[in-house]
Amino acid sequence: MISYDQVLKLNSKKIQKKELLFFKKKRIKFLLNFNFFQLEAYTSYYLKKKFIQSDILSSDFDQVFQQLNSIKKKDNVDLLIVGNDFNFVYDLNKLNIKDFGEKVLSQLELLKKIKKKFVKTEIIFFNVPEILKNYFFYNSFYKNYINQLNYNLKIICDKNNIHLLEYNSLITEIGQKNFYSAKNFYSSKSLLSDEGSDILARSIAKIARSIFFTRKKCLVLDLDNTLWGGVLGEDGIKGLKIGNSYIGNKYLNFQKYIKNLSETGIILAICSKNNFGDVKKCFQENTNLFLKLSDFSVIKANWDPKFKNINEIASELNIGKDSIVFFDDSKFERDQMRKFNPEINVISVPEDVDSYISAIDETAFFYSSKEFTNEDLKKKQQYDLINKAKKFKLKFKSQDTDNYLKSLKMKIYIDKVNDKNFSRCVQMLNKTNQFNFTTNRYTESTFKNYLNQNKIISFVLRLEDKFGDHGITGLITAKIVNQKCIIDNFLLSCRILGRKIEEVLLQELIYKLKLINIKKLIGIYKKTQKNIQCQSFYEKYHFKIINNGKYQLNIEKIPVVKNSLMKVVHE
Amino acid sequence: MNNLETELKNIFKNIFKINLNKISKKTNYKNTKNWDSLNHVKLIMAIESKFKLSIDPDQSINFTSFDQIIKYLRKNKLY
Repeated sequence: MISYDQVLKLNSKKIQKKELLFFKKKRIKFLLNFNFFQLEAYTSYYLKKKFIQSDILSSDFDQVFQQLNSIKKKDNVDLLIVGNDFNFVYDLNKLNIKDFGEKVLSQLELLKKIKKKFVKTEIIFFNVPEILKNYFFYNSFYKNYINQLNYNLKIICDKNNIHLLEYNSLITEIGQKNFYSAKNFYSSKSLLSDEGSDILARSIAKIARSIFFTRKKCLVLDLDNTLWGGVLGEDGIKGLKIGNSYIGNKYLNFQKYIKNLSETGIILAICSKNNFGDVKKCFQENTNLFLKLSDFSVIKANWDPKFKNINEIASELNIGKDSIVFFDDSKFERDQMRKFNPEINVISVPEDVDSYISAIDETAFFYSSKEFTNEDLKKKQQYDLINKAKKFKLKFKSQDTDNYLKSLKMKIYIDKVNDKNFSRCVQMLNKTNQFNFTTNRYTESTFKNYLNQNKIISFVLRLEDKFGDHGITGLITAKIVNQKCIIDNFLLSCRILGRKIEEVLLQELIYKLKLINIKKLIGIYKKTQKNIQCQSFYEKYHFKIINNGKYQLNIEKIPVVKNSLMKVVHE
Repeated sequence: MNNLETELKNIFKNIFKINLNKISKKTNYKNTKNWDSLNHVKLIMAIESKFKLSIDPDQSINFTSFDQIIKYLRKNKLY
């Protein structure tokens, strides 16, 4: 924990981290029914630590309803933080918990409206705490009511894309005595102690991080003194500290945590200075290891510098370096990585194994306040498919692309954007960088609004091949304006690039346009650092440049061809 | 002794947003623009967490100038 005067001191310092300057300041508004000046200071401190610069808008406390009603579009609020507490704030003897519950629910109704009206505003809402334990009338009725209320809040929030903050659990974590400060409340209506403000601000920052940044994709781990205690080369397979007895159990617990992470769609990789043969043997023979070799998608066990190995990991998995997180107990390796491969996210690993999990958790790199989609959960499987496919590809000579593609026995399923694939579409729009012509980002609600416009055409693509199901991996959406069709979004997930699948989506669109007698197709290319590979695409398919980044195709002259490389199925 | 004053000056600087060299014993709530009731509470809390002590709210009302606070801290043998 950091003390209040320390926070004030650090907040008044000028920014040194370059990363902070890239992004616009986020405008944050607190609406709480207690005084929150400490919380404000702590929040902007922890946001800065997570590379979010904040501009905290002034607001009065204990006027939640009035202020919710007076929010205007020009306020441009990026993040609204709303919460209520009753301990100390209300006279508990007179508190009617049901009235309080109704009040909270009606605030949530208002927030739902705000969310619809101002699509850019994200909302964090606190759930309800328990009544002070030393309160005379404390009984199980209150407890049950509050549990039920919190359960309902969670459901409503999830449904409406509001981020629920587990205020109740935070108090449980550090205890009511530490969380609240009666003295602070009676002297200035600021309910929380320094410790309470600290833990609450951390939690807010974590959610904010997951709102404003996308989730990282891959965790690269070291082996010695990271996944197990001891050094494999020196202590031998039997000498490693891993298992159910002391010290070994710490590492075992960490491995279990990593396994859970991978089940939420994070890809695991090993980058260790060891002999590959030794590592393989160790995973086979040491039955105490909770993680198996098959849990890792890439294994780099050799004596090359790690900053070189990690480049290979990135290219083998076909992901950007900025979506890789590096976890290594050695300060030397971490410093080298920061120096020679600055795009990689390096976690400052603490000395003590007990704190490994909280070190990862703290960064919020892998945190998501939303439910995981099915695609997330299948991700590991899908990256393994790529690896298999890569090995298979090596058998073919380079000129032989078409034959190779044929031998993959690809099947493409085409569908419209519908309820089933909607959340995946939003996810792809926000995650895809390389094969993405416009890199327009949407939230669920903005994308819904976009689709609800007139004359929108959308196709979603799912790929299957001889290795298995790759899931939904492509999207094209276009709108028709003045008898011309403009492609707004055109993207493919990077793990299926290089298979000429983009042709299928384009063909599909052209075919559809022919049916409704539209003759002109316009493609837009917005250059970013990452989508250079799209640059020449439209010209390759006989589009003509109108002006910078805008291409036009006369569809009449384009024949509809049957794709010989893959089978296309309409769902 | 000087240490105490420097620490307190830093707290003043961060809360009232004034330059270090403008803070003196004469600095008080009348001649400091940002010294309002909310910042007063912030000031008390910052002092409490910096010097690890708990200040009675009755007492804190008397904290009307830099000098007063220094006197209080010294009187309570904190330095």
